Amino acid sequence: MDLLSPSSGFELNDPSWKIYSRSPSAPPQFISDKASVENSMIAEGCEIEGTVDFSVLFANVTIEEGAVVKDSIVMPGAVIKSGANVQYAIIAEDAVIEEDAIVGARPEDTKTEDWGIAVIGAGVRIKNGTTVKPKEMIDLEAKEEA
Amino acid sequence: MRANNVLGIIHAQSYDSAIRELTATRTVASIPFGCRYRLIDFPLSNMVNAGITQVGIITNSNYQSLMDHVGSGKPWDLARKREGMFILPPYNTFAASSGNHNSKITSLYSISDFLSKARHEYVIMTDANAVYNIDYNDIFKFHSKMDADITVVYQHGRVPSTKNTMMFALDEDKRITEVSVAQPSDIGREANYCFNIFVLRKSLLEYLVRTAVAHNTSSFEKDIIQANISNLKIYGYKAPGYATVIDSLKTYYKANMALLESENRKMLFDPKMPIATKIWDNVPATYGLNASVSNSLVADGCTIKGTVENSLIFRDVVIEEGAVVKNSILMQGTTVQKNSTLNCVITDKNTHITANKSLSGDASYPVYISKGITV
Repeated sequence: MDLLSPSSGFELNDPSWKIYSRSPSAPPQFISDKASVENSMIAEGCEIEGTVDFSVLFANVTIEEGAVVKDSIVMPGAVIKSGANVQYAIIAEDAVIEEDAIVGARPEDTKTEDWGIAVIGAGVRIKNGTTVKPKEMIDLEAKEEA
Repeated sequence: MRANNVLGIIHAQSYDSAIRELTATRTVASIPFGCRYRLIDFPLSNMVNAGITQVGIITNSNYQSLMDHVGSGKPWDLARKREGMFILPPYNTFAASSGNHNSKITSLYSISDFLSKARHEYVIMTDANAVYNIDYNDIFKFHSKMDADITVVYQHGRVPSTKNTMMFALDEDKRITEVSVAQPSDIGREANYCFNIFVLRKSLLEYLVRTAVAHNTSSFEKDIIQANISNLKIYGYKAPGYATVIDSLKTYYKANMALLESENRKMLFDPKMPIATKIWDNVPATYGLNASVSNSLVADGCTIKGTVENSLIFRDVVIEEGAVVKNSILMQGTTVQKNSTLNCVITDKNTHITANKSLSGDASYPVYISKGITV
C-alpha cells in the first residue's frame, strides 16, 4: 500500500532503475464506462467495470459491474463478481468472490479488537452472499474443514 | 499439411505509402496499435500459435524500429538454435539495382536463397497492414481439403484504398473464378477483397517468382494471381472473426477504437491464441486521487491523474491533473500536462502537450501529432 502513497518514497516507476520481472503477455487493461478507478495501481489484462479505490490489482483481474474493491490487494486472475464488496482484504491468485459476497470491513465500522485484514487463499471460491469477517483467513484446506 | 512444414514470410513494408503519417520513420509492420502492440505482432503471433517455427521478415527501409521491436524473436519463442526468426533486409544486388523494392516479386526474388535453403514444403505469406487473429491451421486444412494450388484469405466488406487491391468472385466451392484489381472508383464499395494471406507450395512460389522475373513483369496481383486464375486452382478462405485492413489514418483510428467493444477484444485477444509483443518490464498503470477513467484501454507504465474517456492510452503515457482526453489515441511516452484538453487526437510517440492547450479533431479526420513534437 506504500506504493500508492506519494509520501512513502517507494517509487517503482524509475526508468533508470528498472525492477525486472516476468511480464504476462496480456492485452491492455479495460476500464468500462461504468467503472470508477481512483488512487490505484492496475496491471495488464484487467477488466474493470466496478469501483476500485486505493487498491493494487495484479494482472488479469476481473472486477464486474457494481463490485466494490477498496484498500485491498487482488492477485493475478482473481474475479470479483457483481455486487461483491471487498474492503481491507488480500485476495490471492485465481480466487473468485461471487455475487454480493462481503469480504473484510473498514476499521471504522468494526470493533478495534475484531478488526484485521481478511485473506482469501489461492483458488478459493467465496459463494454468493456469504460474509468473510475481518481478520479471517480462508484457504482451500480451511474451506474443506468448514 | 502440418504447420511445422510451413515457412512463414511477412512483408513488413507493403503499402507503406498508404499511411504516410505513421510510416515517416517506421515500417507498416512497426506501427503501434492497441496500447501495447505493433502491427507485426498479429501475423507473427498467429504463425507461432499455429506451430510455425521459421519466419522471414522482408524489409527494405526504415526498419530500425522493426528490429528494435522484434529483437531476437524471444517474445514469440522464435529465438531458437534451429530455424527461428530472420530479418531479410534488401541485401541482394538484384533488388537494390531494380529500384523497385516495394514490389512483392522483387523482394521475393531477392530472398531466393532463403527460400531454397528452407526445408519446408509450404509457405504462408502475409503483409503486416492488418489486424486479426486467425488460426492458420484452419487455412492449412482448407488448403489440403480443396487440393488447392494457392489459397488466398479474403474478407467481405469495404474495399481498402491500398494499391492494387484484388477483388474476387468465387463459385460455391470457394474457388476464385475472377480477379479484378480495384480501381479508384471501387474503393469503399462492398466486395470480396484480398486479405493478403497466401498459402502455397514453396516450389510453386519459387517457380512463379522466377517466371515473373524472367518475363520482366512486376505486379504480383496482375502477373501472378490474375494471370494464373485458370491455370492454377486458386481458392478463397474467408477471414473469420474480427479482421480488418488498415489503409489510412482514418481506418487506423477506427480499428483502434473498435477495441473498446468487448466482442472485438474477445475475438482478437483470445487467451488460447495470445498475441505476443515486446515486453517492457513496466510498472502497472497508476491512477491518481482524482482520476476519472471510463470506456478506455490503458497500458502498463501509465500515470493517470486527469480525465480519460473513450480513449486508448499506450505505455508510459502521463496525464496530469485537470487534463481531459476524449476519443483519442495517445502513443507511448505522450505527456499531457495540466488542464489541457484533447478530443479525437492521435499523438505519436513521445509527444508533449503543454499545459492549458486545447486540440480537437473529428472521428472522420483525427488530428495527428507526429513523433517527438511539443505542442
